[in-house]
Amino acid sequence: MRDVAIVGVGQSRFGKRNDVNLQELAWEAVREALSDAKLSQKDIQYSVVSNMGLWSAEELPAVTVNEYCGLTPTGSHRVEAACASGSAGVTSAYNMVASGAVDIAIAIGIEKMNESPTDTVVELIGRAGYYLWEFENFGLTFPGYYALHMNAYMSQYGATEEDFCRAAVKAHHYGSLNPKAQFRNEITVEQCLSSKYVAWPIKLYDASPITDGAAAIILASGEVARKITDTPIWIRSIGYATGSANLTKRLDFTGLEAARRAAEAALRRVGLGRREIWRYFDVAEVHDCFTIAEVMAYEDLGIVERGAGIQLIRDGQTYKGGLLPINLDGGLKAKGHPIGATGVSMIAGLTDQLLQRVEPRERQADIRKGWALAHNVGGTGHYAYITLLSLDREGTPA
Amino acid sequence: MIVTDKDGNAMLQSERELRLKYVISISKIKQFFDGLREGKVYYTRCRKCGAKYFPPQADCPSCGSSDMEWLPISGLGRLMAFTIINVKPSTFNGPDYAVGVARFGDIGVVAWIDGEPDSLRHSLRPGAEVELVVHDNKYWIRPVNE
Repeated sequence: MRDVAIVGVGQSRFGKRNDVNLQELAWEAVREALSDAKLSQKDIQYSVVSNMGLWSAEELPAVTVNEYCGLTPTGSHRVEAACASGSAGVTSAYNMVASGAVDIAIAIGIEKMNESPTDTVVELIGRAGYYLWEFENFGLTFPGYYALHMNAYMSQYGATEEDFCRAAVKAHHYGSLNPKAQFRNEITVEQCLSSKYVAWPIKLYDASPITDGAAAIILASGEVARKITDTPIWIRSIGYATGSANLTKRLDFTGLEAARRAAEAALRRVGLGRREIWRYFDVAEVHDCFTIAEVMAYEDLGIVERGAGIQLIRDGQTYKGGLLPINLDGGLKAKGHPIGATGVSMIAGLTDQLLQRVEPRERQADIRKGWALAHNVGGTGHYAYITLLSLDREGTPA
Repeated sequence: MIVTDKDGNAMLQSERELRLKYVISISKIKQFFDGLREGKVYYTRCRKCGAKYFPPQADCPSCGSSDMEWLPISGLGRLMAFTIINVKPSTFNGPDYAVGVARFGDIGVVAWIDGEPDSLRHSLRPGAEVELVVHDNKYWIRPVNE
């Protein structure tokens, strides 16, 4: 397998984007990525489009997006791995380049959730578990799935709803600094605590919103990347795993087994174990679709031990300047969670972080080790992808 | 039809309404649904290798056999976690309902919890003893009062 680097990234503004259609929204990200890489469409040899769909009208988003963005007749396919579709698409594009099939590929993540009414979107996301056994009779919603985990975690480790609200406050703080975020307002713990339950104990302010958004990254093989840019960001490792479709098969609701397995696989490839990994990274993005998901991510990644994740939130250790700055773009919770775009957006944002070009500087992490980590979960631990990025083409994190 | 949102963005509202109602085969696991009518919640166990499945499976991926026996889940279990669905899917409009996941030995079950959600919220904790009850052709997790 060949080395693969990111040579250009782009992101649209996230939010309720009634001002654009699916294709126009994708173009915002694709145009920015092409411009960042100083490439044109004819340089792109394969296009992977991550999109969950269902709520949006276009059934073949890869072809409509490629046509609008001038990428036709480039080979293409659409990727679905629920909320991890973006990382799955990056994996697919990575493999096209690493295998030697092509030298340059683009991964586009796109989601236009607001093409359907909110209650329809709630219903469709709720079906993203095991339809026959969990939705048809019991009407589990997506917040409901994570609420089961929050209930188990609170009971096991003595965490409180107030503790979790501190994660929402952090997300909104960084969202307020990110011009592309859906929520650009600070919130207080009190506001979060007084918000309505959507699936007890999860409240509205514990939850990521329904979002339209797009992100794109351009990948190139090692030698080609060197010609395109002086500052390639190397994809050093991708770890992946799946979890059972049925919650009935799970023995533990205080973490996500698939995320732990994916993290172990990703870290092993660069010579690391899944413990105290904050030592090796400058910045990370974790899949905070709900506040509980962020806390479980800290533990599943091995930043801290099981049960200690909530203490990181209480102590503010994942703000800039803390043990490991996490989600300095506002995360899914405040930047927004356009399902298929999220994973691509994480990797695009971390590329900007490693290149130290994030504005305002208040949300630029200090880059000393040159390593960043993206943690992207699909469903409730149904899919998990962990992607490790580095300024260095070789060597292990020190 | 062209509609405009509060910010003045023009949108074409599609005239084509698609209604989806699926038919899912339960032919190979019909005994499960027959069991509910008899007040039983069946799981399957592979006669060849002993692997247990709930939801019931007609095939055993562990050993490749499709020779399964049907056994009822019985006895007391432990609640692992629960939630109360406040914002409901459009096809579940009505009062809030509680959903839990419990383990009966090595069998896990997801079901509604029999009880009033607001009182369960204050009285029920993970680890509580529960039993499975069947009524109206549905199975429920019911807390056992000590």
